[in-house]
Amino acid sequence: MNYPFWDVPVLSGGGVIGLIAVYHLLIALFAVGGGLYLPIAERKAIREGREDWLRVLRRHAKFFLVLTAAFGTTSGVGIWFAIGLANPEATSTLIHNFVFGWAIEYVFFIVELTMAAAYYYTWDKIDRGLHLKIGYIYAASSFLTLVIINGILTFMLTPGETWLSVAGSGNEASVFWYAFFNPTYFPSLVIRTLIAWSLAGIWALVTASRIDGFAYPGLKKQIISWSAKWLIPAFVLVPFCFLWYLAMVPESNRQLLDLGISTIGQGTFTQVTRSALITVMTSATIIALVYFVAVRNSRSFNLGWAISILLLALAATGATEQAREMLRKPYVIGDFMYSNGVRKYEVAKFNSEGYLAHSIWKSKDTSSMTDVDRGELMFRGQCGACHTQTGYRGMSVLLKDRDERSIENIVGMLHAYNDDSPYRKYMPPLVGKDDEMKALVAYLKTLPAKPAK
Amino acid sequence: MFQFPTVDPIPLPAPVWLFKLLHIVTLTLHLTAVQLILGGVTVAGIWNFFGREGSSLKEASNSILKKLPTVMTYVINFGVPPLLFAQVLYGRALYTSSVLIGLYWIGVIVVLTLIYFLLYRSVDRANEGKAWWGYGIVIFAGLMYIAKVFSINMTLMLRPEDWQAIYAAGGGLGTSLPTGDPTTTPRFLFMLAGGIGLSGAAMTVISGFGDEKDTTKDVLRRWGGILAALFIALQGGAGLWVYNSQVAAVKAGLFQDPMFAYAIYAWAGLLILSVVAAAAAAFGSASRARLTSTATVLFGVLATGAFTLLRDRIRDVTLLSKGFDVWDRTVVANWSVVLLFLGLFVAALILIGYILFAIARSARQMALGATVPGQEQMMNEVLERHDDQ
Repeated sequence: MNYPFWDVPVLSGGGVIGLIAVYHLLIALFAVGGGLYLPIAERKAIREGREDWLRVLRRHAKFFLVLTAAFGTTSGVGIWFAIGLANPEATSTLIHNFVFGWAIEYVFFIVELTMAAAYYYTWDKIDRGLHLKIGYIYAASSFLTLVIINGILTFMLTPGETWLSVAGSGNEASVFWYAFFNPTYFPSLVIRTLIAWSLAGIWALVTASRIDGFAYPGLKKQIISWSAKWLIPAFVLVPFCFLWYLAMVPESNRQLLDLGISTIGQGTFTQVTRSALITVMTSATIIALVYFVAVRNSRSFNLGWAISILLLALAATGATEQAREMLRKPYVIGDFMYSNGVRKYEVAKFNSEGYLAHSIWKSKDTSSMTDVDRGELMFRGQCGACHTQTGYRGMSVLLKDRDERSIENIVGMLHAYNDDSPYRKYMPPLVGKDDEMKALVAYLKTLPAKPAK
Repeated sequence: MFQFPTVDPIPLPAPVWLFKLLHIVTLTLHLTAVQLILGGVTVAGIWNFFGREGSSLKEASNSILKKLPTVMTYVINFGVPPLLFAQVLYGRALYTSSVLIGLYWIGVIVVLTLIYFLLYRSVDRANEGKAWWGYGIVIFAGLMYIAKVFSINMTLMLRPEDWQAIYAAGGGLGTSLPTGDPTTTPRFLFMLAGGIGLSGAAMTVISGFGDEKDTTKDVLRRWGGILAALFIALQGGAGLWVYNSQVAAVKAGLFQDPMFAYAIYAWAGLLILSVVAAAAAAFGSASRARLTSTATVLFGVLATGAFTLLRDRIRDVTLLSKGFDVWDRTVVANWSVVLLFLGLFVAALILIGYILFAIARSARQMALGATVPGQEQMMNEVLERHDDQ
């Protein structure tokens, strides 16, 4: 526990990251896909002499600008704030490794947001060729932000053998590009790009839904049909890309998904499988709604339907991100740092020297603290990243039917971390000396047991 | 000496001096944008409240407002790199202080989103001819909140002696907002005064452009100049207060390195030049306003750069007095990535400059009476198609 622990009741720090991340992704990927949608649609309208399309596109451009700037930019910064609070150790590792990757991303952001503002504010005020050029520069720069951030995100799941071979040696910077273009980089980039295009179509439906279908039936139908086509590449190609992605994920992580699928019959399938199933179901529902409700009945397609599709997209995005996060367990940075911020190579040190001995976040000397006090510190440092006391993955519920002996057994198993331990697939080891394990047990016993709801 | 979290075992991928240079340059840009939004909202909001419908004051208020969403874009985007570089150099202190006020720190994002959205809504209201000062009050309050939380975090990271007590009081969630740092209030007022001052300078510049009435441009130039002269002078006073609020070791440390002593003199000199140029823009001839207003902004931005450098020195000296030497880091550089970043940064600036130039040229041609190239032909095609139908 190198840093103070950010203790968010009920939700947990990880929950805060998750909420902001899902909300951000829905907008950020729209910024990438929608950035391409706008100039392509504008070019089509200009070529076909569709002044009515241009009026709709101008309105969509304003919606795009406000949404991506006011909500997309701030939520992106929000994720960064949240990860720094919830897991400063992992954030520090990522920043030390990729600081110039992030800096490059922000160069593209500056271009992207300048072009977004220029694109909207110069509409009908400058030469149309130049206006289109600005749109395409926007599209390129927003895609390049994805190219960069994708390297950092995929690194967290699959840092790659080359980086892992030097991790902890002080030579991490020398293998920057290996870490960046890690095993899941390309499949993830293709999947995210496809999803970005599909989100461009879904968000365009929001604007299209506000066209009066009875006054302008032709216009509404054409824009909806054209926008719906943006969903097709994702729905055709993502399943294949997902298989490609899985093939690049380490066998140990993939087992979580396999385990979940094989136990569906017993109803005990893993969270990663549940999330993946939600993604499949919501995606199928989206395509059905877009075809039957939006394309086939475009005249009566209204904002309520558009928002419903958007909420399904939110659910699909959330479930996919949840599955990706769960696939990474028990690590926050694959095979290097556990989800509680303990580096894999530090386990032996903490076990021999003690976990709390390395923490400055003790209000007094540990020798004068009770077991429960020390146990609470252990809980905060090693369990709090994924568990709350009474809320999300609440320990009071998880331990409600367990007596002291049973709690000791679980803590003991997690401390021993044997190869055949069932927890090993998704939980980090508990590190520390034996007396610290006893302190943790003493604290866990104090958590009020509440009946499961 | 005080205890800090242990340093990250991964070495820095570039020398400390480069991180500091990038930090100071990008922070100067960020603080310039921060001052513009802070002062812009304050002045435009007040003018919107007092200005009668159709008056020059009202029009000037709306003219300023319409530029603020774009300014806000740069506040955020120029804010990210300096925070990133600060996390690399000072992460042990900065992550800690952020967690200690975690609830308020994450609250910045919620408030930022709200005020950014309200800026766009205010512009919509202005375009509809409606008053927007009510939104302005909320935006101003939001900005004050963010400024206060940032001031507290950036000073709390320098106070390891108080961390344990604040962590215990905050209950882990970070609900305890510490007070009692004598430097927080002067730093806060320093930024507020600078904000109104620099915004005033920017008003004198925008008075030379745009399609507002001459009387509106006159309001922007005269009042912008007066505000700039007055508040930049006040910022000088606040700067002295900031200096006096430092402990003796920090005051002494500021002058130990001649570079920072020169920076103090440079800052003071630039403030005086700004005040003189602003007064000239306000009370001098309108024909020379473009020169004097540009000079005011230029001196103002350079002064911002000088105080950013001094601010950085104050942080380093304070941390050093408590056992944290920012220069004591292992460096294993990867120059290919560093050079790629620097190359892209320059290329991006050239690209943005080129596009802005092309926009200005094209807009000028359009203003001379031409329709949008291609529009006339398109309209003919549309009419023909309708005829066919």
